[in-house]
Amino acid sequence: VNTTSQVSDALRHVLTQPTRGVVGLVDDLLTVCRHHRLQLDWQPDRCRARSDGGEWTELADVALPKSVFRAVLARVAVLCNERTPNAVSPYGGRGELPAGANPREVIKVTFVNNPTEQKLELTTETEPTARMSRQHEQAGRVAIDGD
Amino acid sequence: LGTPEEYARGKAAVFTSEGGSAILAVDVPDDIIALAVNEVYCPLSQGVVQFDEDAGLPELRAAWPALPKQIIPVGSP
Repeated sequence: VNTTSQVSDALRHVLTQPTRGVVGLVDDLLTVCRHHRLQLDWQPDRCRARSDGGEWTELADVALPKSVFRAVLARVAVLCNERTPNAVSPYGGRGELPAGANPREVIKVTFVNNPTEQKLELTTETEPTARMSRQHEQAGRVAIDGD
Repeated sequence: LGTPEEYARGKAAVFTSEGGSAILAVDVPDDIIALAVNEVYCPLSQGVVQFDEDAGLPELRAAWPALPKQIIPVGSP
């Protein structure tokens, strides 16, 4: 069972004590989301999270400099486009990232990254089987075309 | 964060009427870069210098007219 304080502590550690810069921060943030099935709502002046549709928990004292937050968002954009080419622009969009060994579990990403607005929303979800089948079929075609 | 070419193409795709993608290479003095580098979050080893209002952008803006610049067109992949 994930307690609110466990989730808060894990997130606070990832955001305030990164070991590999923004690249490591984003990797570790996604790992925490996967482990706790988190929904994250992160803006420059607010970061809140909830696990499995529970109550939102505000994380105090985790505000990052704007330049760092923008670099985090830029890294998220690259990861989205690595999974699905051209899924998002550097300025924002919606994408998906894998959520672990189970291919049906994904982290849905919505973000905005421009000089006047920055935000990141992550939601861990399990996709219906039918949709996954279509995605795998499409991925197979891309791989064959690429060869 | 990907290559400069990939980043340029991604930005140009949002502004399709602005002539296509290009890289603006600017020779920024080390003392201005140092204002933007955050060794904990954005170390230089990761190849990204993120200027912003709280990280060297005002100083970069002030020095901008005198900085050497080169426009490098970016073609299709």
